[in-house]
Amino acid sequence: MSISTQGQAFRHIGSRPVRPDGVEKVTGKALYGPDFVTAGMLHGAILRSPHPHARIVSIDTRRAENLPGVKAVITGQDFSDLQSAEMVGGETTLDVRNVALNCMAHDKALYVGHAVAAVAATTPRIAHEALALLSVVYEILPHVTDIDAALEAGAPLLHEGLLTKGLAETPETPSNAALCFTMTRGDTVTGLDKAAAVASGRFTLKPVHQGYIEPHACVASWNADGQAQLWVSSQGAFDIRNQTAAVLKMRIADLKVTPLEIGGGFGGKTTIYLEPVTLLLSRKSGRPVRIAMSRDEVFMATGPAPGGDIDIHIGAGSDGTICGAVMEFRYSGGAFPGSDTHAAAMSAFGHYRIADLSLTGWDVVTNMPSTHAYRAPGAPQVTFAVESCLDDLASRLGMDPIDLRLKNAVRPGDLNPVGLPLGAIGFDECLEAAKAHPHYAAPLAAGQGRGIAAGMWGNYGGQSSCVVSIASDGTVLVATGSPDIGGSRASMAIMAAETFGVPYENVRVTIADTASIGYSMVTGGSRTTFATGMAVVDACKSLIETLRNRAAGLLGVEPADVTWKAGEARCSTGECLSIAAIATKSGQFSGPLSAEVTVNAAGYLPGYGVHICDSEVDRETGQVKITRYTAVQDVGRAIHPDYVEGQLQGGAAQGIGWALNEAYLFNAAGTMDNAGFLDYRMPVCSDLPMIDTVMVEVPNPAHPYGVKGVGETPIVPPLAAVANAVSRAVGYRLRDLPMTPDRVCAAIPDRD
Amino acid sequence: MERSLALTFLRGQEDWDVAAGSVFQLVQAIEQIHPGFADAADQRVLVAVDGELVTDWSQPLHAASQVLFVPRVGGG
Repeated sequence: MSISTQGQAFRHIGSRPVRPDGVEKVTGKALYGPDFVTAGMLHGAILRSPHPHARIVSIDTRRAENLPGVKAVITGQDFSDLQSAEMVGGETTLDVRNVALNCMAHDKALYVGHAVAAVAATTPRIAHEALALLSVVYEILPHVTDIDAALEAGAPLLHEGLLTKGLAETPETPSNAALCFTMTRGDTVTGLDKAAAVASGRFTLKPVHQGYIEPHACVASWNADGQAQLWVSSQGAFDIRNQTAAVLKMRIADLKVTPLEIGGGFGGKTTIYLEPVTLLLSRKSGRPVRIAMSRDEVFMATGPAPGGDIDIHIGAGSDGTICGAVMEFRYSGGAFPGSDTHAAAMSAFGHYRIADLSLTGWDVVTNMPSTHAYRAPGAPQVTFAVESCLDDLASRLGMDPIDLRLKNAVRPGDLNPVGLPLGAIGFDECLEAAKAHPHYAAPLAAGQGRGIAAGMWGNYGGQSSCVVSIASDGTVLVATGSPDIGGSRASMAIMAAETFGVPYENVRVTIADTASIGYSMVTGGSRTTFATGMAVVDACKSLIETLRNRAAGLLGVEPADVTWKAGEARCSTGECLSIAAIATKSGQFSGPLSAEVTVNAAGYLPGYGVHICDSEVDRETGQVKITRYTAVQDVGRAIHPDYVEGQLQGGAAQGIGWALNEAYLFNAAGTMDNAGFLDYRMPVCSDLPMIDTVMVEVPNPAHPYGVKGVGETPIVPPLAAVANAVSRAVGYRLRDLPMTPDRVCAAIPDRD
Repeated sequence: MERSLALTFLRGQEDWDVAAGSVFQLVQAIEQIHPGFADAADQRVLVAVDGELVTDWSQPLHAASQVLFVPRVGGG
C-alpha cells in the first residue's frame, strides 16, 4: 500500500522490475565471502580466548609451526605497536588501536572468543590441529559482563587507563564508564511538575546480534613488493581498506579490496575482524590465505548491538501535551568503548516536541564482544522505553495512543534534537495513515492486545562515487563504490533509466573495487539510494549534455536546438537521434561517453515510522504469538517499492525477534551460552504473520527523485509496538526484553 | 557547539564568537585556543551553518553566520 502526497508521472521510478542480481543468487553462482578461492590458497584458523578477562603471559607457537602443512603462525606480537588515534570509520569515528586490539589481543584477552593467535595451513584440518598445539599461558583476571556491576566501585577494570569522557571534570581515576553524553533543554523539574500524568520505570534489554546468515570471511594475498589484495564481503570496501591499512600501517593505495556479494550485514559488516589477521598470515607464508568464521565465532567475536538499562520519566498535561522528560541510560559497549550513546540520544525523543528535556547516556565497557552498529544503532533500545511510556500515558489520560502521538509529533519547521529546523518530514502523515488503516479499527479477540509505537532515525548522506558509461550500442553501464546490501543495483538502474529515458534492462550496474573508482562510504546509515543515487543521476545528466552536444554536431544544428527525451535527442527540425546512434560515433568525437561524479551529499532527511502490532498470549505457557502487524513509514519516494517494502518487513521482523526471543546469555564463567541459531532464537517465517506495509511518500526536495533513507527506521518502533501489544494483552506493563514465556507468565497477575 | 563536544574538547565552552571567513578558518581559530580541536573536528563532527547541514567547509561565512558543531552519528 502506498500513500503519496505529491503525484508525479514517472516511467521507471516506482516500478517493480526483476532484481538484476536475482539469477546469480538463486542459481548459486553468486560469490559470497566464504565462496571465494584463489590458486595456491592456504586455510587460516584462529585461536580464541576461553577466558572473559585474562592477561596473556606467553604464547608458545613452536609445536604448531613444526606441524607439517603449517605455513604461518601469528600472534598479537606480529601487529605493529599502534598509538590511540581516531579515524573516520563508516559514518562515525573509530580508534584504530582499539580496532587492532579487537582483531587480535596483544597483552590481554577481554572476552571469551577474543582472538589471541592464528595459523595458516595447507588444509583446514591441519590448521585446526595446529591451533591445538599452540600453548597459551593466561593469568586469569576477574571479569564483569553486567552493566551495573561494571560501574560499581572496585569492579574489574578492562582498560587501566580509561577515564570517562564527556564529564565537566575529567575524573582522576579510571573506570569502566567510557563516556557520558548529556543533552538538556528547558527545565525538566518544572516541566514534570506541571504534568497531569507521569509514566516512568526502568527498562532493560540484552545485547542482540545482527544475525546475518553469511559469516565473516575473507581471502588475503600479500605480495613481496608490499602490495596486497583482499576479497571480502562487507558493507563498504573502502572503509575495510582504510581500516586495515591503518591497523597494518600500509599505504592505502597498496591495498586493493574487491567486494563480494554480501549475505546480510545490518551494520555489522562496517568494520574489520579477519582482514589484518589474514593479511599478516599471507605476508608470513607468501601465499594467499582464507579465513571464514564459524557461526559460534560470529556470535562470540563480532559485534552485537548493546544491551542496556534505561530509567525514564515522561509527563504530560491533561490535553496530552508532553511537558517534560528525563532519561538516563547505560549501554554495554562490550570490550571497547563505542556503544551508540550519541545516536541513542538523538533518536530517543527526536520525533516529539518536548520543551523540557534532560537526557544522560553512559557507554560502559564489559567483558563481552565489542558492540557494533546494528540497524539504527542505539535507537531501538531507548525508543522501547519512550514508546512504552507514551502508551502508559495514553492509558492514564484516557487518550487514543495515536492521538497522543499526533498531539506531540514533530512537523516541518520544528527543531530536531540539536536545534536544526526539520525539512519535509512526514511523521504526521504516518500517524494519520496508521489511524486510518483498517488494522487499527479491526476487532481483537479475547486474550489479544494491540500495541502502537512510533520512532525515528536521522539517516545520512555523505561521500559517494560513480562512473556512468554508454556503450557503442547505447546500453548503459553504471559503476558505484557502494556494496548492494538491499537492492541498490536495482535502484541505481531505475534512476539511471529514468534520467536517460531508456529501458531498465538497458542499464547494468556493477559494484567496483577500491582501485577502480573513487572513495565511497559504507552502505549504511540508510544513505546509499539517497547519496549514491544522487551521484548516478548527476552523472547521467552530465552525459545527456554531452549527448545533446554530439547530436547537434551530427545534425549540423546548435545544441540549443536539441532536447533530450525518452532516450533520444530531438531536434527542433523534427529529426531524432537515438542514444545508440550517437554512442556509436564516439570514435568520431572526443572519445568514449563516460562521466565520473563524486558527491558529499547533504540534504538528507530523517525517517519516521509507526507500527501496529496485535499479539495473542497463551496465559498458561506465556507464549506470545504475533497475529497481525502493520508497518507505516515515510519513505520519501519509493524507487523500487518491492525493496522498500522488504526493508519495512525486515526491520519489523528483526525488531520482533529482539522483543520476544533474542538475547546474549552469559553464564557465570562469562561464556555466551547460546552461540548458535538453535539456542539464539531469531524469528523465522513460521513465527510471523505477513507483515503489512504502508509507504507514505513525502518526497525529499533535496534529491532529484525525492529519496529518503528507509533501511534503518523500521527496526526502531517494533520493540515497543510488541511490548505494548503484549502488555495490553496481559494487563501488566512488561519492561524487560526479551519477553520470553517465563517473563510473560510472571507478569500475568491472575495466573494460577 | 554541542555540549558533549564542548566538554570533551573545549573545557565546556559551548558558545564562541569568532571572526572567520569559512568553517575551515573557524576550526583553525578554535584550534589556536584549544590545540587538538581541528583533528577532532575532522573526525567527529558535522557542521551546520545557519540551520542547514553543510558538507563543504570552504563555503564563505558571513559576519552574522551561526555555525553549529554536532557529533557524527554512525548508522548501520
